[in-house]
Amino acid sequence: MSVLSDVPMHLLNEWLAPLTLTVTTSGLFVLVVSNVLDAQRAHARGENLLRRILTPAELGQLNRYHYLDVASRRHANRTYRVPARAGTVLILHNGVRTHGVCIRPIDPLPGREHVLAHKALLEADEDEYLKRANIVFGSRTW
Amino acid sequence: MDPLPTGSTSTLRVLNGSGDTSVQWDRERLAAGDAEARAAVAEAERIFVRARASGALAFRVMPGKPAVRIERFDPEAREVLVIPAMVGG
Repeated sequence: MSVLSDVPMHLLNEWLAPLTLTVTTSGLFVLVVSNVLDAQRAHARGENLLRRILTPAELGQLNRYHYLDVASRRHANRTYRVPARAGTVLILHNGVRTHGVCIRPIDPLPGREHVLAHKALLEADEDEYLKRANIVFGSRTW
Repeated sequence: MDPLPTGSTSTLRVLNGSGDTSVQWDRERLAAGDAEARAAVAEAERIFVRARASGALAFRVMPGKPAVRIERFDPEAREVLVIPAMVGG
């Protein structure tokens, strides 16, 4: 502090303030770039996983129509339409929308990875999926 | 990118906000008592248990076949997928 007090004020204003600003800005820039790169890597890992777990037909549907249809294993003619972007999952009966439900991973997943979470729970435990979901439209009677 | 699994390679994959965490091991080498394979399985089981304790859901998955929910870590599964808890939005 005693060293700083010996420095003329105009020198502090001319050099120290711009230097501090430059260092801070550079640090923020590095942080932003690092976060962007992390997000890109996470997105790439997610896409790789989609290619590994989905069949070519499922992946084709997701790429082309931006949703994945998951057939119900408990109810004939029922399909769950999971959007590629987080949003309402539509329930179709014989191709007609009857319900919309909202359900999501508690930890947001990068890119389209959430589609895998919906698919896995729907296939393995459809009743649990519906129990956890909130209804956006349609009745509670399935 | 992870290498594509060979015939006897298993993968545990935990989905999370930063993409995913994965551990691979070789089932044949595990059966033969290979130390490296045993260490990988122990690591996978540790990650599995920790994720399940935080409410995550686990499945055995295979392309073209329905996912099967599992409660315990299965070192014989070809691919185990762990997802965050699902909640109403």
